[in-house]
Amino acid sequence: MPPQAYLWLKDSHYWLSRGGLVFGIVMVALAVYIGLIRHKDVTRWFRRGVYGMTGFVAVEALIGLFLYASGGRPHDEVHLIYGLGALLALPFFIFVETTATKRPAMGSYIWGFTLMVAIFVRSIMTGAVA
Amino acid sequence: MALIFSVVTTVISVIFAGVVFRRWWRARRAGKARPHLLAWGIGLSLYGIGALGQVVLYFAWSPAFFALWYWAGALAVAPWLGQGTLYLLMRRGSAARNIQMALILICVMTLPWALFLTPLNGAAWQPGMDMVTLTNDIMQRGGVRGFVPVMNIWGTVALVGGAIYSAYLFRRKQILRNRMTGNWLIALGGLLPALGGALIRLDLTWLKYPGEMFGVILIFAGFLIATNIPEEAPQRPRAAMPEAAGD
Repeated sequence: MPPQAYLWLKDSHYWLSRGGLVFGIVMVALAVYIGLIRHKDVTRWFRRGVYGMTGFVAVEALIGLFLYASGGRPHDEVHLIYGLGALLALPFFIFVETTATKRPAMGSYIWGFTLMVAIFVRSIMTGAVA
Repeated sequence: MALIFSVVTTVISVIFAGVVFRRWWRARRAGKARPHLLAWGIGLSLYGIGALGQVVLYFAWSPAFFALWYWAGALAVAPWLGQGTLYLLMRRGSAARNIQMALILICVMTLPWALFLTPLNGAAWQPGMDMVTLTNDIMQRGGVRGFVPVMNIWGTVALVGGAIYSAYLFRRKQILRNRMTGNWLIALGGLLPALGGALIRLDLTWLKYPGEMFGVILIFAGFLIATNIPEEAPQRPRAAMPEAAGD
């Protein structure tokens, strides 16, 4: 890979992770507002946001894998574990929410996004220094 | 003695896991969801893997078995056993399922972490030595070990607390005596391995192995007693007895 492309991907991985963290925090706040304050169920737009976030994390993980395959290494190898956790966090809770027989089921996303944000924080702390 | 205790623990937990999985499978084939049985079956399998790891490490050094022993025995057993009880106690909403997803996520993260990313000092291992006393020399603090206190407290509170709560309710309502007795035994059995862990900190490491063995024996006995429904048991609607730690 040309060094310029590698640097561009590394930069993207760095900034997308920060963007993902902010998006995750916003989603936690929205989930708490809809689920705990208004006692409503998951809305269509919220679910779209969940799927968007899942895709976003998948892209971020793919870039990370690509960087690793190209010889790049995180500050701490445990970054790979946190990356795996961030990737899997939402699908588990999407499964619970979409198969829940008892509604409302916003609790799944409060759990999911809170865990995902925590994993993102650890992931950023163990990733490469910019 | 540690070897004998570990062998007996392995055999009993494997048999117990088989019994629980069989019940779960039969219920599933009959169209009944019994997620608590599945969670207990997984927990008991992990109990067996942890004890088997102790047996293997008594004779030979194996980084994979050490990681599995630590991950299964110290980290994953208690929350999976506790998860089974949570399914019985938290029947409203999807709370128990959400907690299970968090548990699966943590297990999926910590297993490769323990297996591949935790540096182990194999030179510190000695044949026939108590693994508990060697753990600090083989495995440095921090990393995956940071999850152990949280997971154990979570699991023990759920298993022991849930069983005590159920036993208390059965006693107060004066119904299903067998379930009350079974739950007391489960609570005591769940407490023994946890106490063993606490005693390690007091340098009483040798108590860990009998604690594990008698723990699984008591939980097995409690499970069999609690799930043995006597013919004269009063027929009550299912929703009225959600606290039954047995099915």
